[in-house]
Amino acid sequence: MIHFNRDPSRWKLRMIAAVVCLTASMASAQEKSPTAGSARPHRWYDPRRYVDRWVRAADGVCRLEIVEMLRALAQGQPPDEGKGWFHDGQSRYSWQWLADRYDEDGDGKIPADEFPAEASNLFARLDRDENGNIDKDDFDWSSTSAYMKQAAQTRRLFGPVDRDRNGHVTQEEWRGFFERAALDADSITPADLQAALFPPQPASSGDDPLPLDLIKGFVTGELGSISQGPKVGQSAPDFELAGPMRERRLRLSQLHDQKPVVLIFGSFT
Amino acid sequence: MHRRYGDRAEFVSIYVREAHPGDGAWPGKFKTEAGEAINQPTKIDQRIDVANQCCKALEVSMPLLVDDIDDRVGRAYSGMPDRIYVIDRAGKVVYKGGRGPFGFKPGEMEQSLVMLLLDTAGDQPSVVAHEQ
Repeated sequence: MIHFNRDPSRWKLRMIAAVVCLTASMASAQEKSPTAGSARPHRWYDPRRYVDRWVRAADGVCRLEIVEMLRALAQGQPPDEGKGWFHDGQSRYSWQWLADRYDEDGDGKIPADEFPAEASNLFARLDRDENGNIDKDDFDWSSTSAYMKQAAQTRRLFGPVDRDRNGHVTQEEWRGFFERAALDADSITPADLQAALFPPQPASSGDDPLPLDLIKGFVTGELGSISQGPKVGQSAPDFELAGPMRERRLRLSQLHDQKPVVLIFGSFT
Repeated sequence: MHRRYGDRAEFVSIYVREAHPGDGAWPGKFKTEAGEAINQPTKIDQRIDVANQCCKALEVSMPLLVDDIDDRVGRAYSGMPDRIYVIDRAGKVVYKGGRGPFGFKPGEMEQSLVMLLLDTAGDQPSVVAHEQ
């Protein structure tokens, strides 16, 4: 074992600082000499040969969803809509794919007569705003789009009415909401509706989750997951699971052998 | 949506780890029919029991699979708390939804599914023939 004359922890800190300074100076030298890449490459033992790769790797790590989530949780930001915690979906397909295929006149919209006749029943599934044309706006699922803002408002209004929170509002629930809003009156005013939709929130009782609780929930896989999951274009990990009646197990590879498969992950809570 | 495309795609729900168990980091207010709080199942039988209650309460009609208690499939797909994938016949990921609840957008998935069916219509002539 090597014994240091000085405090080992201080020695280690100085080594780390030296490596960081060396790397930073090399990265700076790399930027100041743009022709370095075109000159003779550095030898394999020269750290400058690997600086670009390290910088790209570090940048890639910071952009990982799990790192973003951990950073947000550590700062006390619980999962919330539109705060970048929940990224948009990714797909092999897009508006551009559809336009390249069917927008014959290149005017940025696909009316019904440009869509294949044998698939006419699917036109409405793509024309999200039902304006008679499939266009780029129909594929905007970001939280800033008009459609998603409407969806968010609708969810906000649906919640107080859906008493049993099963995603369906019955006539009974609808009448119950009216009665709660009207308070024995025969009609409701805008103020009544607002009070019913946005009831007073109780003062914080101190039971709100702490950042450490949220990180614990993230690590245990309740609020998120450490793994990233497969990307678009990658092979879906094969698996075999049984249903709730413990009947025969189903294997994913057997399912997608016949038809495309839609997997929906979720839980009751 | 399951009824609309059920003959052209396999819809499978996978029941995973509870997102807001009563004994978890961010407890929820959900209760069973008996009025009990839902804690994180520690045995597969407990998870199956909660999954059955979920299906009954939410009137889920599509096939349901229950993840093993070690959450292996949920972790492999980063499926917690909820997420949607579309897998093509070659076993490749075509669509990967954002993480739920706010990234959970069935309409977005449906568009990708429709375009997948259009893209592969040549392989299966009847794939877009009718709508149920």
